[in-house]
Amino acid sequence: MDRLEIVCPAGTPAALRTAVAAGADSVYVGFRNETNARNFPGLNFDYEELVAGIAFAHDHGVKVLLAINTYPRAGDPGPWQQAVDDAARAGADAVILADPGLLAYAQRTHPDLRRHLSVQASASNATAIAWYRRRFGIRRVVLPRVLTLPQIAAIARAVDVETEVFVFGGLCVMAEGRCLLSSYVTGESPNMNGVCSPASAVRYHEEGDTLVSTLGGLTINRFGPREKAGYPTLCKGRFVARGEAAYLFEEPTSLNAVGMLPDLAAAGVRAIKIEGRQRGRAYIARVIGAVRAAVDAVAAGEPPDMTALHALSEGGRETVGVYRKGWR
Amino acid sequence: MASQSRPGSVEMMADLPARLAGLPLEAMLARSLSRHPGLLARLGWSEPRTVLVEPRDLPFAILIRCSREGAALRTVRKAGAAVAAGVDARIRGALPDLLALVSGGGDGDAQFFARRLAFDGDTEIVLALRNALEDADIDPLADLLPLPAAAVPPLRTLLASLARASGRIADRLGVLERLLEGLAAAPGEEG
Repeated sequence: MDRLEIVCPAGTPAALRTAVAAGADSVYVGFRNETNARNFPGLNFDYEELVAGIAFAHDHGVKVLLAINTYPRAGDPGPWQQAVDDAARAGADAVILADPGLLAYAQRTHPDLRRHLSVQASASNATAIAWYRRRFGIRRVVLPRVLTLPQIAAIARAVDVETEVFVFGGLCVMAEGRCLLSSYVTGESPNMNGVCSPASAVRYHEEGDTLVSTLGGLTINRFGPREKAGYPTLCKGRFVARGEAAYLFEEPTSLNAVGMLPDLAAAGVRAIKIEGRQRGRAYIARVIGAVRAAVDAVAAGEPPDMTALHALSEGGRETVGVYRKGWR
Repeated sequence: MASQSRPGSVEMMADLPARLAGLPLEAMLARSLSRHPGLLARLGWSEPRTVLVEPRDLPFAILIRCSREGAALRTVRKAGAAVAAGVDARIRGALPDLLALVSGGGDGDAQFFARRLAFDGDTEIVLALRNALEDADIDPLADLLPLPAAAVPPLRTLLASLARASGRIADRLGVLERLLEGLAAAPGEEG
């Protein structure tokens, strides 16, 4: 069994260097514009930074994958095609794409540039993945976080592309690429603009000891004096229904499937992904270091040590998500 | 009218300690910007933005004005509510957490979730500042203090030893605190 490839996030050049030092096999990054799904202020790479980052990573035997995983604006695919051209020119090891038009452009224009199908494409069955393989020559699919372990194993057996799954970080419960909750309140979405809950629409303020978060002017959560706060996304908002305030869509809980690494490897998964291009270097170093140790332990036939990762979960709570589905 | 818009001598004297404290901070800012020229470009602010930083454990606040062209700071009295109202964003926290934010040594998201850091105002500005500081990779010893290069490694070793020692003390205090909490909670749980 091959050792699992650890695919790590980097929102800045400094984070890329941190990820490489901490034990990443691959680092995924994005350009500083709406062509990627983490288009936050102060984050991401310009072309020169990408070139320097690739040189640094390659010097250390690490690959760089460029996420160009939003959908081009109608009638204006130019910036997205330019991003593909720049990735090829900079020497990126692969591009992570979601839009079929952009996949076709990359295949036609840069046939030797490895193409990965982004989770944003929401390809969740073998037939869809085989179609992307046949039509656009994708070499890897990043599976949506809506599949159980047996379903992942069935897909891995049925398709002749590598599979990559998320194992740690923020948990997006909706089918990626199809979630419109952020658009509903702010007019901007990760799918088109690269931002879920754009910072311009987010406000935090205190009312006495209570921390209030608002999105697009709507209150989406109120945190009591000693309560941990969370990300300001609508899916993790707390709303009053039948007189009771509750997390109606999703609890503020992190995905942590590192304990399932032996199962994922046995299911035929090739690469494991860590979410968090918006997180800082300290977090990147700690998570990647712990996942690196876990992967190496599994490769040596030992159980992964989960202690270090428990402390890094959002709100201190974690789940294995749908991978091990305990409900009907 | 002029006397109303200019601070009187009493107010100027009251501001003096804060203003004096600002002098080394100004020098640190200038030193950091000269060593990390990409920081302002990453912020991408064509128009100046103002951020008020309020260390909980210091008697004054730091008002930073920043754009792509340059940055400046001055210290102000915390009592100046009018100052807070006129800024684009405000960040509050204990000095060690704020220093960790500057140097990227802490996990800013986790510190915020844990309510150790707080901010209000324009979230876009706070996020851009956090991310630009993360990338700048500021070394508090080498970048902020005018130390000779040879003095940095031994001082770093000394500070790391102190941090480990204080961490051990904090761990022991934490165990004691949890023990006391457990003792205090036990009767209620049984009842």
